[in-house]
Amino acid sequence: MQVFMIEAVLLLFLIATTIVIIFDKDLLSSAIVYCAFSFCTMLLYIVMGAPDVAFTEAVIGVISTIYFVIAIKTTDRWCK
Amino acid sequence: MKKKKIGQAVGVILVIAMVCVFWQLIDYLPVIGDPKSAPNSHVSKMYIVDGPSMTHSPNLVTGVLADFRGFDTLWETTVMFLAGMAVSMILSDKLKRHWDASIFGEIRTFGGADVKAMIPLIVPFILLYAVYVLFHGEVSLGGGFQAGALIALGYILYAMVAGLTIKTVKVTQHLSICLAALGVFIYALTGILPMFNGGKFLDYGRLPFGAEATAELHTTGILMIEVGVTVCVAATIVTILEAVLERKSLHDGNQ
Repeated sequence: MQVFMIEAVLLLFLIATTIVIIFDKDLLSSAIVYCAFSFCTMLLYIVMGAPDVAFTEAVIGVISTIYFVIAIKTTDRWCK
Repeated sequence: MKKKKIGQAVGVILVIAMVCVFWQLIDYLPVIGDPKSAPNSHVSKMYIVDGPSMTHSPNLVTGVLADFRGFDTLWETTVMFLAGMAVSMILSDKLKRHWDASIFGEIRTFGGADVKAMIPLIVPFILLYAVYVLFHGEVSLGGGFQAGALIALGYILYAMVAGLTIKTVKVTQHLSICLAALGVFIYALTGILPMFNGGKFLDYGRLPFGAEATAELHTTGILMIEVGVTVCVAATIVTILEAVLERKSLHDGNQ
């Protein structure tokens, strides 16, 4: 039951972060919230008993966030 | 304008239909951890009971990944390499021949003075951790992919914050693509080497290194393929970074 509650909270948090990522006009904050999304996915993998995938998700989440930040730095920060 | 509205309506209807279909089908999926479900009753049992004795691998996940599915992992690595090459080909059709330090001016550096002071301190530990993850891949979680991603992460952090004006760290797009190909080559070579010794493809027990113990040879073989995966993944990630940066510089040059 406790595991179920943790999973439910994490899934709700995933939905909330996804909505923020889509509707945020500031692309830099969107990228940072994407990092939070990735972290949440990682916690979900750990709860499901896959630490191997969770480790990969942690590293790849950081790298893709860095890519987004580089892309925003070279283009425009604000969404029109 | 009207076409756009129709397209949006079709999209919304499709999404609702997909949600309904998933809602109906989700009952047919087995519950996580159910011992009577199809994947848990045949294949997993074989892997768990016979896996360690068949693969001589200290870790079950490593045994499945590098031994039962070694051929699968080889082509996954190849897919990584091809993805990096595709990004490189799409983003920079007029590739610069030589690395040019002037394209990364002071404007392109990231972070303030505090970040610039901290990142060079953190990067050696990231690289050390990457090596730890690589060499403990057989006995713990982790392995080639994570180690390669960590190495690339260290490189990217250092390159972005230090402003890429360092003369010592220069990885061109050409070099990183060649490194990625080298990683795939190491993996394939590890697969082919046992064939000269009377074994099958990726048959680690027949690696021609003279050792008697099969378990030792298995560890060596798994380490070799993980080094290949590490080199390929790290080089691919760096390739994508270089492709993005060089494309931007090309765009600036045209203006």
